Amino acid sequence: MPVTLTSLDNQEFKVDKEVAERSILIKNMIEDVGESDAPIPLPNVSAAVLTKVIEYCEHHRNDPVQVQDETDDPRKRSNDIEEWDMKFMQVDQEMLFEIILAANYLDIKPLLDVGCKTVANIIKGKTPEEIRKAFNIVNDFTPEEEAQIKKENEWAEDR
Amino acid sequence: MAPTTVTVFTHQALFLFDILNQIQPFLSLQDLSRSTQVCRQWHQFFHQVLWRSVAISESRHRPDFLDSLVKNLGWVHSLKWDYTEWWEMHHVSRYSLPSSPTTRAAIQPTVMSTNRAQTTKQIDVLPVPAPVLTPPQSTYPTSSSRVSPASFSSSSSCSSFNPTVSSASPTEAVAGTSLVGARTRLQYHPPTQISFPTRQTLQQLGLNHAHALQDLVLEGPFELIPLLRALACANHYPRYQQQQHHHPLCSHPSFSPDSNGNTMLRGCSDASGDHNGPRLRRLRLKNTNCQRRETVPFQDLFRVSPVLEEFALKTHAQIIVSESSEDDLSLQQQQQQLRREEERSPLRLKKLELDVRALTGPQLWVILRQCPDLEMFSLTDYGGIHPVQSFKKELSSLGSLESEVGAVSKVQPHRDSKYPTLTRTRPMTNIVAWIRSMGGQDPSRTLSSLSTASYRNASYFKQASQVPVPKVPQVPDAHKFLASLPKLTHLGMDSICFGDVCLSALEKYCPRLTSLDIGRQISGIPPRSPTSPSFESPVSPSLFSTSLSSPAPPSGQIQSSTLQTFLCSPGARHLKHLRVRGLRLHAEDMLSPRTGILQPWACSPHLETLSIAFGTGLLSSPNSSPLTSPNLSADPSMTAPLSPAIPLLYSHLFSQPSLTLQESLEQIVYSQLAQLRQIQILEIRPSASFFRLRISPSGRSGLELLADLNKTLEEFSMAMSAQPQPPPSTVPGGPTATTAVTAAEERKALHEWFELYWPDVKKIQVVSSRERGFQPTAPSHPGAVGLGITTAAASTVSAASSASSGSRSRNSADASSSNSRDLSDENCNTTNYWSGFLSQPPPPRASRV
Repeated sequence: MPVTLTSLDNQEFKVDKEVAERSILIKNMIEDVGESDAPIPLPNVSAAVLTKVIEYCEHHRNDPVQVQDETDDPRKRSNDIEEWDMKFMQVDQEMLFEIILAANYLDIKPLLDVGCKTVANIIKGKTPEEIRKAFNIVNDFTPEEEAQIKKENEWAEDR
Repeated sequence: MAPTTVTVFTHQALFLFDILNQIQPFLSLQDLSRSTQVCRQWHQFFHQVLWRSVAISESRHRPDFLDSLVKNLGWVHSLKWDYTEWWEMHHVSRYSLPSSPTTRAAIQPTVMSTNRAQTTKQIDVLPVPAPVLTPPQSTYPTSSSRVSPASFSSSSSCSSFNPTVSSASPTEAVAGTSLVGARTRLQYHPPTQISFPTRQTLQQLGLNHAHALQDLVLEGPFELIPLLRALACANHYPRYQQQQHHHPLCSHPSFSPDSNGNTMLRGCSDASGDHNGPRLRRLRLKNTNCQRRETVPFQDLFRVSPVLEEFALKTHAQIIVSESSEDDLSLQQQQQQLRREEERSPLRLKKLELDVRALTGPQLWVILRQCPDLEMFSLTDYGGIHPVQSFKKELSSLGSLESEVGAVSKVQPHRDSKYPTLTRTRPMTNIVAWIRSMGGQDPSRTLSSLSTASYRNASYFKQASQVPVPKVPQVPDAHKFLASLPKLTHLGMDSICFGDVCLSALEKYCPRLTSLDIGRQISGIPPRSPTSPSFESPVSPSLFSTSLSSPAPPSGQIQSSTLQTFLCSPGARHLKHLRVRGLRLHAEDMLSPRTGILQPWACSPHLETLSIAFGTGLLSSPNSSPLTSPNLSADPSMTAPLSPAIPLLYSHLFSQPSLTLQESLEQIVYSQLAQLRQIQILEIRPSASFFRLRISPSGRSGLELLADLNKTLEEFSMAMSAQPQPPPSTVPGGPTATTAVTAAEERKALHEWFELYWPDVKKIQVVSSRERGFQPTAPSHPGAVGLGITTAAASTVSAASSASSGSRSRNSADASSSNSRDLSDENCNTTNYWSGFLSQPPPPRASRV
């Protein structure tokens, strides 16, 4: 049974219920409201981003549901990204962060993880200055503060 | 053509803590550190993430790291600080004494003399604040070659501990101390202040400010009382602490404290839930302060955190009751205490590991009474024995203490307490009144009586016998508990074993127990030899009813019958993992003393892991000939007067005349094991008794009874002792084999049996041993094959022809490769039973998957 999703700009998308329910938010809404033809409004997601999200959900429609082990050391999580997902995430930074925000809003954990891994891969191995440059972040530290932080967290630098 | 202008902007998602929180798990510590230097907003988030989990490492952290840690302790959720890296960095490995009496006797004088020589140098054993820089343990074998303790030389080890001196990296600060081995010369580096926690470094750290701490692991020569009180301070006054703790750079509006004084990040959820409440949930303390023996008030152990769920403690500190007397309390205080008593709730402990030498039976009883949610329990039993009179006396003292323990744990009952009625209607609510009714008792005398050391000398027993016996607390379950404990006669006095208290308390107060690990530790007293005058009678005391006075078990260990009683009780019905070290469960104890019928364990349907040694009390000495005749009067080993219960047991054992006594006892054990329908790992530990792995010719008493375990069994290991084998049975109808079976035939038969009946078992390991010296209570150590066995030969019953089972790994020789070799003829038991078996087809299997 298809489900109709309405984007921020009132564009409607008809998707299979199975695909739409990759989003925990939508799944819960469908369960709360029951079977209905009424479109589901997604006021925080633009049509362009929703298109990408639906593309992702279509591709991963048969994936098993992730069960996260909270006891695992988060530092041990792998940054590996599947090939299809990597291509899927080859978008400009604005779209990348919009997808992350949409995944967060729609509660699609696998998509959120892929987006965050992509951002983490951008950060990895870079100096603070390079990170600032990559994300266009302004350095608002004084030199003294910067030196203090550097010294305080020096232990975390690999030797 | 005009150049293309690229609009560069910073996406808002980069400053949302929810998003950053999703990104941070994929960053390394180095990346987190660099992220803290990007901008203020990132610093606010990544700084606390960076400090969330700290494992102090000598190679990673410079000594001045402690200063940074002090500043940021408020962010730390998990702190681990132990010796782990110290041993590796200094080419030192831990040393364990071999348990063989002969080997130990050969080594101990050297160790002891070295101990004495180094006493003044050891950081572990020196009263602070003047620790000096030598390794903390008494012996220092290296990983590459064993270094004799005597060869340890320290040329500059007396330099005092000075943080400013040791500010350089420990890898750079080379002191001129060396370990001289037989073939290698290793450089020894003295410890820095971050090598392991000491009293001084912990004091500098100020753990009373660690209000976010949820998980703490400490191993070192620290002092217990200041630590416990600092943690209690952090967990009982967290809001005050949070208000005190502000990082100078964390002044961003999104980071400001809320109306409750919390400094939680906006948009970030806290896994611990209650922001204001105490958080310490896991605490593992291994206190190696050897020389300065602390005196720790008992209630301090439980004042740490009311939400503590996992607690592991190893210490040799003396545990005492509170020094304050009930008589000192004013009426108002007593009323308040009574009120708290009524409102208290049990501890939340789910996992408890205790290796406290000085812990007494009554103290353990009080602890376990407070833990109705306990799921995992591990105890090291040092074999303490209490005179009953002193037990009652201490119990009465602890009765008042118990109220304090309960009161400090939490004043208000937990909302989610699973025992609402328990919190309201716990017994001993009138204990304060009862204590007052005990007026006239000298508190100092009570305190002195709590010295566990005093239990170990005969003069104390004599003194204790003259002390008027106090009343048993007027608490129904305490009275019943005391009455139900098995008694034994020790030094002429009715006494109670520490281990028995443990099992009885677990049975009564911990209904959710799923994992139990009990190990008996030899407390430096060499085991008694067969020639010793105090050598135990060949007739097992466990043949007597536990309610009867019986000879003392060796070193006050848990009695086999008590363990069997526990395993049969409803208290053990949820057990999934059972590990018992240093104790043999006697086969005859598995029979009902009244009916002579096998008593199945209550945990049989659920047990998944079992590690235990079986034996018999009927044959205490391996040098004595195993019994083969049902005629007791004709048995030369039966020299002691017989209990009326023994003929009953024997009547059962010999109800099947075709079996020898040895076979009958093995049948009991195998029948018990056959009922473990969910067993996955079965380890039969070394035992000096005659229990063997074999397939009986009759098909009714040996390994064949375990065929059905194949459905769930994944690992099987067994240590057999090569005891003198019994002569052929003279019982009419019994095995009449006369041809000796070679070891090769025996091995082949086992191979065939395993191939046929246990094709899916991933690991099968059989260790055969030949003991040259008798060890009545040979202990074993995990991973140490042959420990407690003078000569060990590990044999993996490898299926060389196991092409059909390619996936399974029937080889565990890697675990014991250095100590083991293939089962050879000289190490293999040769029994007369085999000819009978080999001439018969394998026994039919009841069902097979």
